[in-house]
Amino acid sequence: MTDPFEEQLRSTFRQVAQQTTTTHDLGLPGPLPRPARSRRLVATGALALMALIGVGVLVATRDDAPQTVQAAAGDETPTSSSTTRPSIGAALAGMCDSTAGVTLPPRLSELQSMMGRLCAGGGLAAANPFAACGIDAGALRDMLGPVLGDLGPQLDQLKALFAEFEPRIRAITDDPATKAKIESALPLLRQRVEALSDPANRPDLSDPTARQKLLDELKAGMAPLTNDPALKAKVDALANDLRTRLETLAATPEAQALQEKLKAYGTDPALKDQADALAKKLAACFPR
Amino acid sequence: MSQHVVDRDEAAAVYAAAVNDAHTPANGAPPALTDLYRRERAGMVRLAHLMCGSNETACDIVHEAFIRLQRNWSTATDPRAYLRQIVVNLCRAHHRRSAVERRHTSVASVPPMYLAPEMDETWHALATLSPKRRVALVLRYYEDLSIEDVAKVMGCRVGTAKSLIHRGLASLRQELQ
Repeated sequence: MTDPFEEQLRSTFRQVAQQTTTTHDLGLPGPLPRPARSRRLVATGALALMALIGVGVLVATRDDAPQTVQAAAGDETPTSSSTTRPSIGAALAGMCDSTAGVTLPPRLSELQSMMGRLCAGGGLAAANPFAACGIDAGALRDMLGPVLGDLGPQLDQLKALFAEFEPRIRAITDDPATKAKIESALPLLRQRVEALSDPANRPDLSDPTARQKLLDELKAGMAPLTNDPALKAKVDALANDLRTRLETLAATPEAQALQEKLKAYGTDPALKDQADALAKKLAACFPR
Repeated sequence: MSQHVVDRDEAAAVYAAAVNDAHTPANGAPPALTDLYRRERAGMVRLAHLMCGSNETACDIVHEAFIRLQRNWSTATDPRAYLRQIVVNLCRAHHRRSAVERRHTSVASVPPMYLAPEMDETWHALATLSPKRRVALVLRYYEDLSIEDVAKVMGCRVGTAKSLIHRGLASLRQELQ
């Protein structure tokens, strides 16, 4: 029979190990200036942010009554200790606080800094959606690791492209009239996000009508920006130029080769098994 | 510590070789080594972190371990086991070097981790264990090694390994009560 204390020790080791590489790859504290590592930092940060937002949306569709889940990442045994998962509302509120000082569109350094603040404040760890689902985030990162390495050069090119377009973006957003409109729309946007994080007032997002209503309200909130013909023309021109450049980038032999690698990566049976296992855990974690 | 600084540059070279191209060895790194680096680095950093308690130190130790492995690559029959052995030895050497520092460092200075309260207490209690006991517990309960394998990796007798694990658990229990 397994000693509960030994199980707790195993869980502690797993939890710490899970955070080891996560914290390390997010660059806390600042890493040595190695280009390859910075590529991994950006990719991991973006993945973590996307994962947080994605899981946040999924969790937001659930009933937000006090939730008790089987914790202990990677521990699927029914005997694992149960713990109360921090609400997604707290995580979203933390995100709003962390992003309060960020201007739009955020600079790359601001995004990195935001990720750093989220981690330093325990925001990501507190939300810990992977652990709550019994998924080892370290294993997920390891699984994606080889692809991230191949993505590095492409990410560098994307970063260069972003840097090239940044002055044009800033010229639009720093225009006093546009800035005023953005600043007037932001509080409303934040207010709506914060309202979503409040279980008492949150609409039932599993209802398509409620989702459509929310979307319409958001569109209405952004109307001063989206209905401005001059601004729309500027943004469209910028988007067209950007799209052309991205298509050119995607057509380069390197990008084509990467696409082929990604296809081959996707057909690797071992990785497919890992991905299937993760999908099953996620499916078990979130009710249909 | 100067050895460490020199080795970091060398480690960066191995790192670059591993990340940039697994099939075209640079800096003399054999392709199998770069493959091993890709596969095992993250796991070894986790293992080293659990044994030495610091993420940054763990990264240094694992870089150093890969450099040592590269030097002895031709004689390594089981590279992964050899790598783990080097990591464990380096962690124990780190503990020996920092013994004085540890004597003057409070438990509260353990680098913060964001854990559930009961796990946080366990993690802090681990810092109070002797290095040998801590290493033995990590090998037994994180690496899931048998007592015989723990003894082999630690270079001690089976009875000693059993005793280290038993006393390590007892100390932890006492610390947490």
